[in-house]
Amino acid sequence: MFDLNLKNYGYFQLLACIALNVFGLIFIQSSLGDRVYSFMSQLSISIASLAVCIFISFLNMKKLSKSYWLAFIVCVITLLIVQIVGTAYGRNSIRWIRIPFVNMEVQPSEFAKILLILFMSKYIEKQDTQINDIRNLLRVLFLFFIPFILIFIQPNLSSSLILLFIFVCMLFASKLRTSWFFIFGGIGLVFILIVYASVRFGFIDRMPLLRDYQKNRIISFFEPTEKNEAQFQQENSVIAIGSGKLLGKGINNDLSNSVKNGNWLAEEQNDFIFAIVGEEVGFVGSTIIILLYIYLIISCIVTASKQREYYKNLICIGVAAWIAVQTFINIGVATSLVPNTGVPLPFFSQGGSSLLSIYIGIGFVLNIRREETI
Amino acid sequence: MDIIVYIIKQIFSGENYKNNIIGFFSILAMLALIVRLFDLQIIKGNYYEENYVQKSVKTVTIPAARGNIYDVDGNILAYNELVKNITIADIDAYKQNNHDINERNKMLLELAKILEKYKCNIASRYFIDMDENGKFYFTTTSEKQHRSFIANIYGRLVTDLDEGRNFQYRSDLTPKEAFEYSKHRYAMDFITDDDGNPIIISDRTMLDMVSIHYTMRLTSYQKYQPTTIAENVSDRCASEILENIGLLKGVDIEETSSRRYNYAIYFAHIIGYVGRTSEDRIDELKETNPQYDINDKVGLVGIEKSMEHYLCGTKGYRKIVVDSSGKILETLEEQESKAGADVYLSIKATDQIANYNLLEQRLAGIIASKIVNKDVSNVKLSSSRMEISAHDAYYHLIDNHVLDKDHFESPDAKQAEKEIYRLFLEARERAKEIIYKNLMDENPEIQRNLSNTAQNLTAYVYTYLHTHNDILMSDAIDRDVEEYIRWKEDDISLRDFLTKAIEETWIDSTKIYASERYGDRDTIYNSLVLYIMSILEDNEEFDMLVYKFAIKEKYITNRLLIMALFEQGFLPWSDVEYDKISKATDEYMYTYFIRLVRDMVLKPSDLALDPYAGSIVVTNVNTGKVKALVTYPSYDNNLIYVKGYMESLMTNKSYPLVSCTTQTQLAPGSAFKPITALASLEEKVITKDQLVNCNGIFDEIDPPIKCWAYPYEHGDLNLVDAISNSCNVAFAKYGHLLSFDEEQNYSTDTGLRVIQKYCRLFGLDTKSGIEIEELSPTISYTDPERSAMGQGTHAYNNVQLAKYTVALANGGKLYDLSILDKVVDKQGNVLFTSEPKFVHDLNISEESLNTVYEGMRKMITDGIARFIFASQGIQILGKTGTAQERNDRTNHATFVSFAPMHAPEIAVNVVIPFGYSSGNAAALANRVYNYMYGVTSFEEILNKGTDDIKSISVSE
Repeated sequence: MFDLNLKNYGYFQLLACIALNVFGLIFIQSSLGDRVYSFMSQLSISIASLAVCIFISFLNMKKLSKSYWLAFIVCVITLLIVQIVGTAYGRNSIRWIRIPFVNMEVQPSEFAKILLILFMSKYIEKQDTQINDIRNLLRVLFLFFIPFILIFIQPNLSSSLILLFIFVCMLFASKLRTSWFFIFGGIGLVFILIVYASVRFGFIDRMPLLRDYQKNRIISFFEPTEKNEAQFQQENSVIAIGSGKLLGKGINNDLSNSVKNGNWLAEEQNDFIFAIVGEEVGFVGSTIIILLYIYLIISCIVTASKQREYYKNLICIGVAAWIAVQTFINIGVATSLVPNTGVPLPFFSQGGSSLLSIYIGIGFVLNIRREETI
Repeated sequence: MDIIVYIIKQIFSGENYKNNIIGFFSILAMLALIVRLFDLQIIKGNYYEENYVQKSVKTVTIPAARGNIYDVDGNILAYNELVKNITIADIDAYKQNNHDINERNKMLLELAKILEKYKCNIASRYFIDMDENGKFYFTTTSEKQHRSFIANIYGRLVTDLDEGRNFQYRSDLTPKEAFEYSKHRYAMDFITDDDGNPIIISDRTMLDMVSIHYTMRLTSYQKYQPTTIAENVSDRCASEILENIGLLKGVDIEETSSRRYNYAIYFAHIIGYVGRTSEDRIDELKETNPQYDINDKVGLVGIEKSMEHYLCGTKGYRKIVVDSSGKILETLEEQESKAGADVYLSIKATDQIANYNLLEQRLAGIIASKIVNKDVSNVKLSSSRMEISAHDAYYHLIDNHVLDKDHFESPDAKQAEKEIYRLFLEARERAKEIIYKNLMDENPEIQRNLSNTAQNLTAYVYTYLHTHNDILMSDAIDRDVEEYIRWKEDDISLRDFLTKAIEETWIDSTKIYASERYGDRDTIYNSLVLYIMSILEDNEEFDMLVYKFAIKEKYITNRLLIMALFEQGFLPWSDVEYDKISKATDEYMYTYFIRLVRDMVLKPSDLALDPYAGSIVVTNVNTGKVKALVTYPSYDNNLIYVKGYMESLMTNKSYPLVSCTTQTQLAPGSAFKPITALASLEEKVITKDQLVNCNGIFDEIDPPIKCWAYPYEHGDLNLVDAISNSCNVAFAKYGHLLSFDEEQNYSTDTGLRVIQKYCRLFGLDTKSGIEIEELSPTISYTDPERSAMGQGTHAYNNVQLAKYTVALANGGKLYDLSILDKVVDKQGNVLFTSEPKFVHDLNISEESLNTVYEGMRKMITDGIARFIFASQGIQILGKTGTAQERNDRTNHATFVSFAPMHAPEIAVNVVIPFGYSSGNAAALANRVYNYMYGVTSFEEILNKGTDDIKSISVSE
């Protein structure tokens, strides 16, 4: 089961994750203030997740990879359970399952990301170059589509799109010919143009598949004159970040003109955590954090490139893509580059499922790195 | 340039070029973020810092103006008035550290002090209050509410109560314990001033502070949502709050509207009042109208409740953008509220006021004429002959809280009050001596031979032992034992009875602190005596008994009591008057007292002597629309939320909150006879001319029924005469005849079935149909002969009798009655018109109806009530009724009637519970007709005294 080969262990990678996690906790504590209970809960989950991560990094990948279908099954089943007995916790979509006895909530859509990465990496590897055959390609797409649609109908557009992005990156890194990408890229571009046109020319209301709040967010992004709650959140976030200037207002500050000392951002400890970051540690602090993310992403990709076994490559690419896209979207929303959508910042945002699943992902990357053959 | 080309080549070639591409774009994206941050924080940093405005979107509900209520002519009865409320909200001004919490508590202290200064009622959901003695008590009204409240005190869920290993969240807290817990939880048990010295706060103020804070936390689900903590405060109070607004963080003044009622006393039971209600009711209302919120004031009783959905209107909302101090930056969206629709009653205000006055005058007149200056024993007297002893009337001054007896012992009591208190204490000592003597005497007198007072005192001891704490165990008593039988016949002394009771172990000696449970009889008896003497201390019931006997024996004279009325401010102070009475004789004071009653300075509702209640219903017989719906006594629904008012209403023994018209179910007595008459004719058990003989007693059943004329007899009567004489024997006979089936077999069920059928025909099986709360009627289910007379187990209220009278009057159509005319919205559109609610045709032959009409007319012109209607020009048809309920109290007086004879227009129904004789009801109805037909004017009625009203006996 375990291989204790420590020669190539990715200490710095792990350190980067822990650093981001710790910074995350600091900012969460700052925003929560006296809500000690929530903070302690996040702290304990952090420690537990770290433990899981390290544990996974010592498993035997060869044996583990044989049960890649299990990952897929667990993924689909947990998502189905959400459909049946899931709860919404007061939001407008059903995304969580409540575990009895332990009184904890899990969000399967977060775990779907790592589970899909694990499954797809091996599955695509098995396809090898046959993936270019339209029949095989469709099979792959179909398998992807199952968890994708289950997340989409929660409704959870943001998570499903992230899943899509990760998947596309993995496909890109696979033996699939690039020409396919131009085709899909073209379709995607057309889609975005349609969305933009629908806002511009006013027929977004008739767009199918999108819920009202999602339409509102898109509209508020493209047409800033239409004011609503979501847009104010972004405005407030931008002001908060901007006012941090170079060095920020200080962590745990008690100033009245501080975004957390008011009722301005709903759940700033989740999706708008970067507003707190930008305000409290300014440009310097924010950039350092982004550099940490860059380091993580690159180190995952470097690890990927060093793999001889193809599925390991894909796993690392998947994790890298995951971190990249979520970081970009989360900070992009907080700085109003991207329409308002709720996506957790990896290692940072409060939320057990998000934290645990990304730690698991890193755990696998560490494991792969440890077993480097080159 | 070359370097860039080189790097790009490196990236896009090679084995892992795809990975590199992904990496490249990822870094690009991250760099984009850094650039963006640079833009926001460095380039625009200063701008954002200076223009730091955190905006948020809030939706504010705009309340809807409640619809008004009018009488039929458009006189306004209920409307909205602008008032100022004090609100409090959690604006996050106080953090969770010791210093801030102390500041917050100091703020609450200031607030509580201001509220106390202006005597503001705190709209608290903290269900604990304090009585004048400083004792805490719960004000929860149901088990569910209580548990929920206790859970909230802990800050837990109801399911957490009594759970857990250590039972740390007990649900069985005493009020004091709960209060202490809250105090501690809010850190209010140690509040310090600026120098760090602890501030001493009274329990009362502390309770207010806890109440305010608890209520705020309970009803504001999110921060910044204000909770109303005091309503309708004076302008001065509001100003003081605003002056101190810097200190009182989170407190604000809100202008809102409050409900006001005109002609309150006359319409209180009809209109009702508004207020906050339970979650269950809000959920119910939400089903048809989702706009309701737990903080809303909705109709709780009366028309306010039944027409809630018309009156409430539609709330509006405003979506605003506010900055961090709550300042409104812009309005995004607004929808105006829509005012509620106005409700018009079918009742005329002047009719209501006039009839109320007529009723009060009648009751006052009856009482005044019944109070006699001697000791009365009503046992074995016929109802109409019963009287009220003057001393009983004086006693009621104390019993019904006209005089505040607690004030007699207060340090600022005045001369007569002090004297009364002194005499009371003496009397109490004497009473205790009497009891003690009776218990300890070697050869005590038997009950019967004791003075009346002594009898009452010893009887009290017996009742006490028997009803409190089960000392004298009713289940253990063997009712065949001689001593018990003798006690019931007053043929034994208390001492002998109790001794026997101990012997027979009917006494639970464990409860009287006997040192040895199995001690001998005498030891236990002595312990019992000690116990009895101890329960006479601090005993409200016993004190009242002492007052009763002190007044009866004239230790406390009527003069002293009336002087106390002046001293306590019940009577407006006048040196001349006061001086006069302090020197007057008892006889003079009696007359003075009667004058107070006749002038309605002491109202029937103040004294709570029989009769203290009454009802008049006037209806249009062709539509079922009610023109007047009067009940006495009544209350002022403007004062419902004034501290102490509701309590005073509930302790008033004339029960002002109970509507005599809709919530007092009585047997109608002879007023029911027209129905029996019609039933007999229609079922053909009797014809118009058939004679029935009354020899004073109907003995075909057991127990026999005596006619009211007994020992005289009516002789032979036909149906018309039976009605006009209201002969009991005749009607018992009719009821009896109805109980024979086709095979001539007698069965009470047969008779009852017929009677019930006709009751249902006249709508007596359902409520009257008026649009406010009402108790359900009961059609008699026993004894067809007595039921035929209107006794048995019938129970109807006056408005149900009115429904039957209307059907009788209009010649055969049953209508449900209505007090509504129409509902009109603010734009003038009629939303609802109350059409006559036809139920069914009676299908009774015209001949039968005419026969009964003849009888009812003859009753007025020639019958037992003729002298009441002697000079009445209007052709009234009526039937008197006297219903007996208890033989130690007077009978109820009823009168059903309509007029004019050949083309009936209105029905007048009068009920006076415990009204001595139906003559009183008839006489009142007579005056009602005089008013309704303009013979007496409105002004005349308002100015009229009661000098010409006395209790009228109609032998019946």
